[in-house]
Amino acid sequence: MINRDKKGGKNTRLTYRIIFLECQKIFRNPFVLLVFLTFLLINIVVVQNAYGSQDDQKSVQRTHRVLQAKEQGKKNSDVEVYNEYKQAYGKLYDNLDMLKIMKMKEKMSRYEPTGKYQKFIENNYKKLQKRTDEIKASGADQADFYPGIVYFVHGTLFGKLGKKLLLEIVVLVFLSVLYLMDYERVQKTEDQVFVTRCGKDTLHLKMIGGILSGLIYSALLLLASYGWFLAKLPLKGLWKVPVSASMMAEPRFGMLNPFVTFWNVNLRSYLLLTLVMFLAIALLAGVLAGAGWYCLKNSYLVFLVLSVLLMGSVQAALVHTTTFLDIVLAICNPGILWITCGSWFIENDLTLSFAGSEFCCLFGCGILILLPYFIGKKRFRKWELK
Amino acid sequence: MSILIQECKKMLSVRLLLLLALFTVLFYNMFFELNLYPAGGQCTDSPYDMPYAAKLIRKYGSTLPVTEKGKIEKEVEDLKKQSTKLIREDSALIKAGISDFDTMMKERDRLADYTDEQMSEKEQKEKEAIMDFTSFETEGEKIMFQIQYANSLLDDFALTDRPEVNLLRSGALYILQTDMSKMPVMILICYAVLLVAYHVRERIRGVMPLYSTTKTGREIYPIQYLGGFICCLIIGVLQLLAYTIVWYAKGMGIFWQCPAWETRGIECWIKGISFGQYMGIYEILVLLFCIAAMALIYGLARLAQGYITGVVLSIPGCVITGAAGSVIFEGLCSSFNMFSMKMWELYALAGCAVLAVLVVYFRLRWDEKRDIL
Repeated sequence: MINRDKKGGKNTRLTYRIIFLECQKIFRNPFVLLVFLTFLLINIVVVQNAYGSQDDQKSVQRTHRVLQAKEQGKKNSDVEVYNEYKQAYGKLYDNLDMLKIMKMKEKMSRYEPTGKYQKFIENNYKKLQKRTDEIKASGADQADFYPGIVYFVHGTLFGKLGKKLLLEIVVLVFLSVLYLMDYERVQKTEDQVFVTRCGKDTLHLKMIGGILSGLIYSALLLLASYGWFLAKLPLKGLWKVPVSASMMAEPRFGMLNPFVTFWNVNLRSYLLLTLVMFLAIALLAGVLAGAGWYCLKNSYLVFLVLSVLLMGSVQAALVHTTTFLDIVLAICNPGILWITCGSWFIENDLTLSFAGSEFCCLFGCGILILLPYFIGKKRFRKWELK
Repeated sequence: MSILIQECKKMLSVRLLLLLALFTVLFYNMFFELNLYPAGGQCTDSPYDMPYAAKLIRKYGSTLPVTEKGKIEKEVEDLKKQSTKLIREDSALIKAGISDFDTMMKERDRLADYTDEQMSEKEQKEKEAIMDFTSFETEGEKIMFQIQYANSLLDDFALTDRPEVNLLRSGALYILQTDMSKMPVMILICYAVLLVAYHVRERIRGVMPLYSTTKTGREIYPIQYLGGFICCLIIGVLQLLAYTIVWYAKGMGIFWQCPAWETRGIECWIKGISFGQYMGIYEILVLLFCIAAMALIYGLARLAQGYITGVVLSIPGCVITGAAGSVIFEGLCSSFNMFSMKMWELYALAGCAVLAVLVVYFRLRWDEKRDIL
């Protein structure tokens, strides 16, 4: 019996044991491993397409040697060529006008905010302009890195690969949670397990077990995918390069502008922040799967409905009202997190051009997901088997 | 027969069909070039050249003999006159000293390579005025892209050794080929959703041992496969019919009368067909591939012990078959392909069909012979 009033001791051990046994069900099932391997293969193909060819590898290795030579203060012909290139393309902050960029984006996307909303966006871009001045003053814009126009390191690592990883993590967590929550129904033991309140409470532990197993598989997937990326494109000695460096800039929206970060972040801290976001999204995905099961009590339907809902949320991100409602809609839309993956913590979207917008999104989506979860859980406690 | 109809009814669950309909709409919006029409991937990569191509086809027919090049030249002249008229109404351009289309394009090309620091204030304003006139969905932008399209047609007239020029350039072909390479993915996901739900439900209800204990019971397995085959055929036909209807509804039916291939583009190993016939052949071959790939999905669905296991097995199944379909249907009938082999798609399809027959044959044979104890 799980005694809710007692904390620690025997009951905590029992709780952990239930979670452990539930996780074991996932790890004993070879089919989830099959999905994991499929996803890993897809990620490897993405990296191979980006940097896998012999010519690409020669170029990458050569550029890495140049960057290391520069760090050590050495000079050679390749370093001279790199310096010339940097002279031509590494001064993106000199005439960077964030308000001009804002107006260009509004024109190109035909997004014409008015009134206080327009002022809000303008204030955000004025703050970003101050941020560019800070970046210039600190010299962060002059750091050396693989030229973004040639190698698209940030776009591949956090955009292309990042988006795929995010989707794969969500799918792995969905599958793990739904497999465990529907286990008793599929095995026809729900008559025994869900007939008491205690038995119904184990569903919550199953969800936790599913999230945990999903996270373990996701961690392995991240490790393997990023490991393969680093094997193909070495970043040794480059982890402290600020993300706002001019050399890291890539063409976006038809313009070559640097990544204007809201805070001072280097590549290492950007990667850590991205991993934190992945973790938070994975947790939300698990709770969402749990909420879905409490509502529909059929793992297959839940998976299909959630897949269609998430596709719909990506489409819903295209809906605009050019008022403050756009911010509310963006914050409560999980699809926005996927669309902006690769541009988190960077000036990107007009609507979300303020620091901490990603965390606001997580918070908004979290409220939207936790509410039906708690309501569903409460109703399930009163649900009678027929 | 009644068992077959019953199995088909079980498979075509209303809830799942509604979900699939919603999924199809979202897939169209997210992935199909047809939905982006009239923009993307055409001659000028703008929303204007495809409707302009349709206008020319309505006016002159699907092809023009090389000797009638003058008609397109007149079109270019008329468009330039329209653009010049608009330029003379634009005060910013007049101030910058631009009074006609050719001068504007010359200045545009000259100033394109300069940064703001390299230009004087007058040149910066001139560049801005030209940008405002030729961007952001203005009438000036539309005419500029139409002229570009017409000029590319004139290049076809000048460089081709054929007696006539196809007034439809690469745009519709690009849309069709891109979408047909993604169509197997969408159709196979629909098949997986239906087949996994059906077979797993049968397993969970515990009827498999009942089927396996008698000869009559074991005869239900091929009927189940046939039921799945018929349902998947219906879904595949509906999906391709929907694509054709959307194509026509978007006003692209006009292109069906044109020759299938570009005047100066890649050669096709089927000669002398119209674009409409090419599209028909494309859809039939995609359907045949999907029906063959359905055998693999059927095999995986029969293996699944539960719903999530079924989903888990379908993911690599759909990825592999979808990727194979994307490769096979990337550019149907193109004589330039990665295997440098004519009709390689037909050989690939034949291979898929043989594989499908083998999978189904061995699975059904195993059902017939296996001991359930």
